[in-house]
Order: sequence, then C-alpha cells, then structure tokens
Amino acid sequence: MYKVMGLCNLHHSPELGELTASRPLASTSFLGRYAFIDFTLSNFSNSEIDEVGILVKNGPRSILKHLGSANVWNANTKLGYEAIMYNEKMANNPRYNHDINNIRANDWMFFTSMPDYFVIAPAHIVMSIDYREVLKAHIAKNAEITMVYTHIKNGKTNFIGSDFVKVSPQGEIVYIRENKGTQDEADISLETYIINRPKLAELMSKASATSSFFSLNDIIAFCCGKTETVNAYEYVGYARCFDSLPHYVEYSLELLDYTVRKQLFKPEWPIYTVTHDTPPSKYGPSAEVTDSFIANGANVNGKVERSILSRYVTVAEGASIKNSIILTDTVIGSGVHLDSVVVDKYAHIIHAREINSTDGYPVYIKQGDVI
Amino acid sequence: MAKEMVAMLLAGGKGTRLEDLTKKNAKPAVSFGGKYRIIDFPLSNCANSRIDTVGVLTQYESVFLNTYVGNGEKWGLNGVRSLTASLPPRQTEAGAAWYRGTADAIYQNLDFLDSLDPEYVLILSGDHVYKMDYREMLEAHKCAKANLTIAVLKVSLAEASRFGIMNVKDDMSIYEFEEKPKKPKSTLASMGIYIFNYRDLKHYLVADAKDETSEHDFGKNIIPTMLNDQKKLLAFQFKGYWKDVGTIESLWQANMDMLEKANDVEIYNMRTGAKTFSEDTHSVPQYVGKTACVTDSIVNQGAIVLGKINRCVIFNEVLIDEGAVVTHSVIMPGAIIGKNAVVDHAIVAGGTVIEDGRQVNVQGDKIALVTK
Repeated sequence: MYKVMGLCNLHHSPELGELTASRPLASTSFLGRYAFIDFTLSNFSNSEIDEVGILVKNGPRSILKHLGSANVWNANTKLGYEAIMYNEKMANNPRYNHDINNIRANDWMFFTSMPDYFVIAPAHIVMSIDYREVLKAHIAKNAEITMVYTHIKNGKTNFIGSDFVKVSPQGEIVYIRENKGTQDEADISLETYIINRPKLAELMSKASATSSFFSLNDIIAFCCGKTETVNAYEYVGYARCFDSLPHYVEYSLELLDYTVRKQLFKPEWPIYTVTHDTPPSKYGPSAEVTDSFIANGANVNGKVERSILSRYVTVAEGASIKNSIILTDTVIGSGVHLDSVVVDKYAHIIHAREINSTDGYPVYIKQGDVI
Repeated sequence: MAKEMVAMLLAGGKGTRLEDLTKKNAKPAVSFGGKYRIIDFPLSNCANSRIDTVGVLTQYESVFLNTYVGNGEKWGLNGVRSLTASLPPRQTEAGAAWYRGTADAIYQNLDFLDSLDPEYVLILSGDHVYKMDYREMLEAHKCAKANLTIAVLKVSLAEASRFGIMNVKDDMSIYEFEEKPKKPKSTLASMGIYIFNYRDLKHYLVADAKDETSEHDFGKNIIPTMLNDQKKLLAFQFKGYWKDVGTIESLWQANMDMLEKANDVEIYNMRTGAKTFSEDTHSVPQYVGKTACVTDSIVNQGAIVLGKINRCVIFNEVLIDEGAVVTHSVIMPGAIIGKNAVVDHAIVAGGTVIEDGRQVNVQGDKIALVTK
C-alpha cells in the first residue's frame, strides 16, 4: 500500500503565439471544449491519483476559472483535490519562479499529504497515459527517479526545444540535452517523472546548492547518468508537444483523423472536463459541415471544413471556414471567408471579407475584436 | 428554518403509451432533446425558480430515477440550504401501500411535508417539457389570496376536448372544471401544475384518504371537492411552450419542435434565459465526417455523423455511418445507424443497432419506434 500524489507542472508550458497572451496554455481551449490541463488531470484521475497539486507559473485566475470546484476529476470528493500551487512572492521574477521554488513555497504537501511517490506531468504534452503502469515499473526496478520518454520519427520539426535523451541498453537515461532538430529519429522526454518523496527533497536541495535558477528538469539533466540514476520508461502512444501556434493548429486538426483520434480518446480512458450545461449544437438549413469538431452550443448555418468550432460559435449562412479554430462565443458573419485562422473568444467577424494565412503561419484574431 | 414553498414532483408513472421506451424506464427518465431526460425540465425549473427543496415521488422502475435524481447536484439542488429527496413508497408502522393516485402519493408523504412546514406546496409532474418560473405563479396565488392556483395553457378549441378545462370569471377565479368536455366552455387547459396553501392541501388530502370511493387523484377528486366547498381557486395563465410527451407521436413532435424557431420554442435557446441542466456525459468531441451532410438538426457531443441527416435530433454517442440517410428522426444515446441504412420519421431507442443497408419506416405513415 503506497500513496501517490500528482503534480501537474505548468512551469515549462510554452507560448502558443498570441493565444497565450491572455491566459496560460493550461486553460487554453482545445478541440472546442477542453482545456489542455483536462488531459493531465484526467490521466491522474483515471490512474487513481486523487490528490493533485497544480504547479502554476502564471495566470492563476484563468486556471481557477476553468477548474471551478474541480470536483469532476475526483473519485471521492472529500478525499480528492486539485490544489493550486502558486508562488506569489516570485511570480514577477521569472528566473526564480520555477517549479522547485513553487514546491518550496507550498511545501505543506510534504507534511500533510506525505505521499510515497510523486508523479509529475506537464500539460503541454498531450497524451493518454496510465501512470499505474509506470509506477509498477518504477517500483519493480527499485528506482528513485523514473522519466517517461517516447520515440518519435519527426524530431526535426517536432518537440524542438524539448529534452532529447539517450537511453542505455539497461534502460537508464544517459544524458538529457535540448532537441535542436538535428535528427528525425529521436527519444524525447515527456517531462513526466516519478520521484520518491525523499529523493525529491534531495533533488531540491541539490538544485539550490548548484544554481538558484535550476528547475526540476535542470537538476535532473545535470545529475543524470552522473550522480543520479534516472530509470527510463518508454511510452508508446499519442504524444504531441503543443509549443507554438502553428503546432496548436496542426495537432488540433490532426485529431480530426480517426486513426490519430483513437490513440488519444480511448473508451476506457475518458477525458473529463467541467460542464457548462450547454445545449446540443444546432445546424440550420444551409449548414455544410465536413471533417470538423463542433462543440455544443454552436449555431451553424454556413460552410465549415476541416475546422474546430467551440461552444456558442455562430456561423452565418454564406460564411465559410476552413482549416481554422474558432473559440467560444464568436460570430462569423455572412460572406466572411476564413482559411487557417485562429479566432479568439467573443470576436465578431461580421463584415464580409477574406481572412487567410499567406505564409503558412495561422492568422490570429484577438479576443473581442470586431472585424 | 421553515420554507416558503417546496416542490413535490410526481414522477411515479410508467407512461404506457410510450411503449418499449418505458419498458424498463419510468417516463420522466425517457431521453429528450439530444441530451436531456424529461425530468430535467421540471427540476431545472425548480432550480431557476430558486426553489431549494424538492421531493421527487417515484414508483415505477424507481431505481434509475432515484439514482439519477441523487442529491440534486445535476440541477444545483444540493446547495447549502437545499434538500432533494427521492420519495418512493415505503413501509411504515401502519403497513405498506403503493401510491394509488396522484393525491395519495402526496398524502403518504405528509410527514415529509410536515417536517419542512412550508407555507405553500408546488405540485409538479415529471412528464412535461417546458420552461417556467414558478415564482410568477406564486405571486399571483398570493395576490389573489387563493387556496389553490392551477396553471393553465390556452389551447385551440379543437384541442380543448382532450384536456381538463377550467372555466373562469374575469378575475381568473375558477368556477367550474370539466374533464375532457365535448362542448368546451373555455380553452384554458390544466397543465397539472398546482400551488396549494399547505394547510388546505393537508386538510383535503386527509379527508380524501378516508373516502373509499375516491380515486385519490387531484384532477378527479381534490379539485372538484374544493370547488364544491366554494374554495378560492385561481387559474394562472402560462404563456410559452409546454408539451405533455405521453405518446410516441407527441414525444417525436416535441423533439422536432426543438428544431423550429417559429414555434417560440424557448426551451432550446442558446445564450439567453434560464438554462436546462442535465447530466454531463463526458463524451468525446462531436465529429462530422468528410462525406457527411448535416442540415436542420440538433446534435449532441459524442455523436459521430459520417452520413446524411436532415431534421433530426441526435443524442450523444450516436454513430451515423457512411452513406446512411436519416431524416425527421430522433436517434437516442448510443444508437448506431449502419452504412447506407435509411431511416425516416422514427424514434430509434438508445443502444439500438440498425444494420448496414436496412430501411426503417421509409414511406411509413406514422412515427415508428425502433428498438431493435
């Protein structure tokens, strides 16, 4: 019988262009009705990890707004919780506002929760993973640190800036370096770790003794293969790193394909999100929707192709949308033609015009814009 | 703290005219509108009317309903001063008896009502689809100092013979009540929604329980008795959409009404007004396929539409496979319409699998209920 605590680490969340200017990646809309953090929290929930700390770097208001009472992930609403961990003192000091200082500022969990193992996972790498399997392997190997990695075949264009790892034949991490896109076949860290509680405390001390700027990833990369043994666990399955606006659009639309979608959405692994009791989506007589995700509350009477509509999006007759992602409560008026556009919340695009990307980079329309 | 008004929701009936849909399901639990169950409407109305105490009287196939109602969380009825109680029939020292009628059901729960000591009791039915703020009705009841207020709906003269009709004076006080009159004197139909002064309700229920010739029904016994006793009965006219979805035909029609804007169907509105609360199904995103065609329809999350649908209500976890053509139909949760199947003017029950190529009710002359 052992106790596990989950830590959703948001300190390394990348920016998704202007989309994350007004909210952190964790609470950014995904596939029309989720927020990125829902996947990490659902992985924890389905893995029977009920006590979760969310390490927030910035934007706590937005994350709190999304989570609400956060009951939806808990197996037992009295025993489970998703606690926001935020370092108010260092919030405006980026160099110092890392996960280790955040844990320090919120170290109550070491004393009240006393878990045997911490499972640490990010929100910006989306996957469907059962941490119980990783724990079993971690315990079987008597490991103190396990890193979950995956093998990718497109390292030249994906997971750039993420951690490139070398795995020994004995299943240990030899070194961790930055992926600079030099090769397609690559083993990449999923920034997902299992760390025993005493070892985590030790790593944190080591970190501050080495550099006050060191985050958890930094100290592990610094020590692994030298003074620390990092056990490697290979994850096989859907894993995408949402690290830019173009990738946000590319990977979101990629999930429209059933062969990709079924690797992330598995019947026995539900993804929970907060409900807003939104009515089912409504299609008018002129609706022409193909190859798209349509969220509840959407009111569609125009043409939508290979796109994602979020809740309460209105698409008027005579409008056409292609390769685009439209966020909540927007209006796309008649005669408007969008191609490769991300439209943020509350925007009203109502005067007939064409908006499309000319350089392969998606066009971003700001929240509340009237065009 | 005594409550001003508590609601008692009659949800015990089977709804035999819904045939196989109520074989293993009480009528209030029947699916509606792409994502709801019928009972979501009266319960959401209670929540939006800021009524925080609701008793739900169950009887037929009560297990599902009792668990669905639970602690009222789905409708927010689990607030700090709230109480949501499932009330199936029970054994007492006096013995055990099923609910013999609508009035008897309330009578058998007078102890529950006594413990709440309310000023007013709102009697609702779990069979109706509508949106209403009961506070307006309560205001009218208080203003008129009535003993009983009955919500009424103006129907057409042609339809009036199907309903319990209230004949009223200019001040809306009821002087006569006629059940399914052949020659209706008015077009105000009873909606089966009552507000009683609790004192009066208790008095008449106790008296009625002693009467062995009574059918223990509000419409047949309590209301006529109160009229005879010259009690003050008020008709409160409701203006809006209301449907008793008791038959396959009316259930289908009410679903189709949701597609209509012209019908003044505010039960389905996007952003304004009161919300209808329900259970979240934690579904995957709704996906519309490459060769799909969706027009004039309502589709819930979790549905996958790869074929062609027109004028349909599609529930969660439904699969409309490639080449299938579904028109004027209600496809309930988890049903599968196979490749190239054709379905028209039908209600396809939850979980039903329509095999590839099958034709359902094509050129049929009435609404088909398909359960296999």
